[in-house]
Amino acid sequence: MIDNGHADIISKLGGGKKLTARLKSFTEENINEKTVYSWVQQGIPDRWKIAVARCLLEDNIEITHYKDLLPPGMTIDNLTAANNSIKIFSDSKVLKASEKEIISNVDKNIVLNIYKLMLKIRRFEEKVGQLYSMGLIGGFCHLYIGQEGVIAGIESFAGSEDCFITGYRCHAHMVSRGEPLLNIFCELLGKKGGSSMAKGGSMHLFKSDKKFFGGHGIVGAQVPLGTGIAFSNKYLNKKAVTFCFFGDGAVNQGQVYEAFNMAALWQLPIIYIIENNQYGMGTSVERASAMTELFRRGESFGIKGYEIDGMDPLAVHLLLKKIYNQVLNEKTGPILIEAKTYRYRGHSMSDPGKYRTRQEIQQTRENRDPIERVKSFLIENKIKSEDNLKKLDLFIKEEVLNASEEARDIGLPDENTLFKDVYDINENIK
Amino acid sequence: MNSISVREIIRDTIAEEMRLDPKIFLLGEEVGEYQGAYKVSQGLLDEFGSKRVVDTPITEAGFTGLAIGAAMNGLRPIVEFMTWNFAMQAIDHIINSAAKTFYMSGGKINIPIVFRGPNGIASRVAAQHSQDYSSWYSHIPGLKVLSPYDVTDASGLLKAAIKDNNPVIFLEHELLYNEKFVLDSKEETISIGKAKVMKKGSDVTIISYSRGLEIAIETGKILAQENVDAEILNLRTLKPIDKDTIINSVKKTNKVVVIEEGWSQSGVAAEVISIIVENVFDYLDTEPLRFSGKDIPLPYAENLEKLALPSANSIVKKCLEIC
Ligand SMILES: Cc1ncc(C[n+]2csc(CCOP(=O)(O)OP(=O)(O)O)c2C)c(N)n1
Ligand SMILES: [Mg+2]
Repeated sequence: MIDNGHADIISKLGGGKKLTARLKSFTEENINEKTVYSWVQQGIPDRWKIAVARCLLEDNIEITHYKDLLPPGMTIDNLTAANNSIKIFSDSKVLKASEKEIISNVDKNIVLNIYKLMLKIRRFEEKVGQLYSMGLIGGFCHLYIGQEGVIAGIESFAGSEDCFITGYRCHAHMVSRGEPLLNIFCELLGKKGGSSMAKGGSMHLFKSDKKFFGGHGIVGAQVPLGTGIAFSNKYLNKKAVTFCFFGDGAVNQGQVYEAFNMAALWQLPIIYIIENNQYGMGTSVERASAMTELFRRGESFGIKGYEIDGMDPLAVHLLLKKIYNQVLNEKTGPILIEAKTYRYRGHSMSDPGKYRTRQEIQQTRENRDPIERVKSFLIENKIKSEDNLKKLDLFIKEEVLNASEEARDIGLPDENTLFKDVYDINENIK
Repeated sequence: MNSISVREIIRDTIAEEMRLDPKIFLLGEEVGEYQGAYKVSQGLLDEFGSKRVVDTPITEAGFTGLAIGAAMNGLRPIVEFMTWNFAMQAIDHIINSAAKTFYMSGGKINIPIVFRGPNGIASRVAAQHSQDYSSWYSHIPGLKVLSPYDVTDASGLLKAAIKDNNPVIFLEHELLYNEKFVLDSKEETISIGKAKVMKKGSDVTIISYSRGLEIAIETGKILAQENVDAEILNLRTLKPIDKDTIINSVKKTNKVVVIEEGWSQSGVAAEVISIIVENVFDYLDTEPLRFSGKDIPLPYAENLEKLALPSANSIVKKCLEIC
């Protein structure tokens, strides 16, 4: 067993130099020998542990002695499955955008809009969290804090004909599609004027005029639904792409693969976006998925997949815009994107969060926060001053506060709406 | 006597049975490391290890089919659905693979399995997360359907379910998990197919199950103040339903009220009333009454949600009209 450093593991694996090269080839990440040598004293950091465990497994080194390399609950069976599957060859890949490419290719106004949208979502969600803690919001409430870069990067190029659908973590998509905050607050507070007449609540938000098809509570359900939306766009010769969002937990639902098959078979214009925030409720990806490179989950249907950094909305913009244009104009058929991201808050407001460390959350916040990322970009590239951005934040905070206060003053929905909208009583007009 | 919560007694009962039979295992989403989404399986992973307390991916159709397969080949799975709403993903296996196989195989392959988890109306979670599946499953030959109210029900019925050689649907209620009751040691095991008279009475029979009993008991209390002596009947088993107990009670009181959270059409109350009309029509002094969930998907808003469900006050009013 090991106390602090991991000297014996590193020596068993042939020393720091050899290990560095291997880790590089595993993960396509840049890691240098100096870092690896530092583990001799300081121990292997969490994010590299699984990769090192894979090396031990491949070399037939008795891994049971090094169980501390595996996340809680992950078994050697899980690791073996991951290791076997990762070796299968792949067309899919990890996409990266360099800072240079971003600087020369992303318009300044777009960067600013992305920043504004993310900030609006963050401040909105923070307020929602407060209202929930005050007992003003009922039921389940899943916040998007930490994941803003994904939706903001996509919204920066999506058109008004493009369609969106997601699961229950849907407040941000609603903000992003431009619903007035007041209507969303009213829905969450169960008030008259809610966007779903206070019938749906936090998990069931919809915006039909901007083709946001909701807000679905059953994990995985949105994937065939989104595929059907893409089917209808193709059927009606509409030039539109469907963005279908789902989680790293949802990827294990069977209906996802039934949908993938049809999307590929019929070459539907859809981009599936796995928002991999590393956990489905309290279960980490490694404990739920035999093959953890989720962007490759469409390969057996001929669906190309790409991993992108969802914490860098500028990279999301640059990389996905290109893919989007291909799907839209070149009719490439479905594409699968895995956006690596992270949620800072619990799964829902009632999650005790014992499955991960505070440190892990803290480190992600400090090093990968999508809002901080764009903020520094704006300042470094002299697009906006720090002062400017502070004012912007105050402005957004006020907008959020005003909408929430206004919503709190509104009354409950009329009781005579109870039986309204069970059926659509309008006639089909041809 | 010490009281205990429904949540704890379910866990204790599972543990007790698992200690007796190594073929019993628990599987489902978040049952292990997370200690259960509603903390029902708290501590079970520690005691029984990950071989017998199995965390699954979110893949209900898959793990339900897998568990049924394991039951076909000699194990005795307890499948936890995080809520019964998510069992909709797996209902094909429950009905086509679990309920029908013993019959279809001419008695060669039995499926000793328990499907359990919270059913019914939760609080403010809207239509997709709030629904009573009692009538759905009690429609199906080959299934047994149990619906506990208090800790005595939960413990006795769960033991019976786990020992049974057939697929058993065990419908818990999220809003009852925290409720504490004193365990009645005289009823350590409860026979499947038997209802329970919770309170004897002579003026009207109030029949319900699961959380509907909270309303039934409250209704009975208010009626008592009005000098109406209600008999309160807890169905406990929804399939096979205990016709005799229902019939005998109505013969005595000549009036009946049935309360359910679920929707009325083709519901449990409809079934109970059919039994009464078919068997003891002549004993009825007045038309049978049923109080069900309103015929709408459950709304989120607090005031609308309340209106969508039966309440003691409205039931009392109607009862006083017939009593
Ligand atoms: C069919 C179904 N099973 C289980 C659940 C309960 N549940 C809600 S969210 C969730 C985790 C989903 O995780 P993931 O797909 O990673 O999305 P995230 O919450 O991380 O955004 C579970 C198990 C559900 N809503 N639907
Ligand atoms: Mg997730």
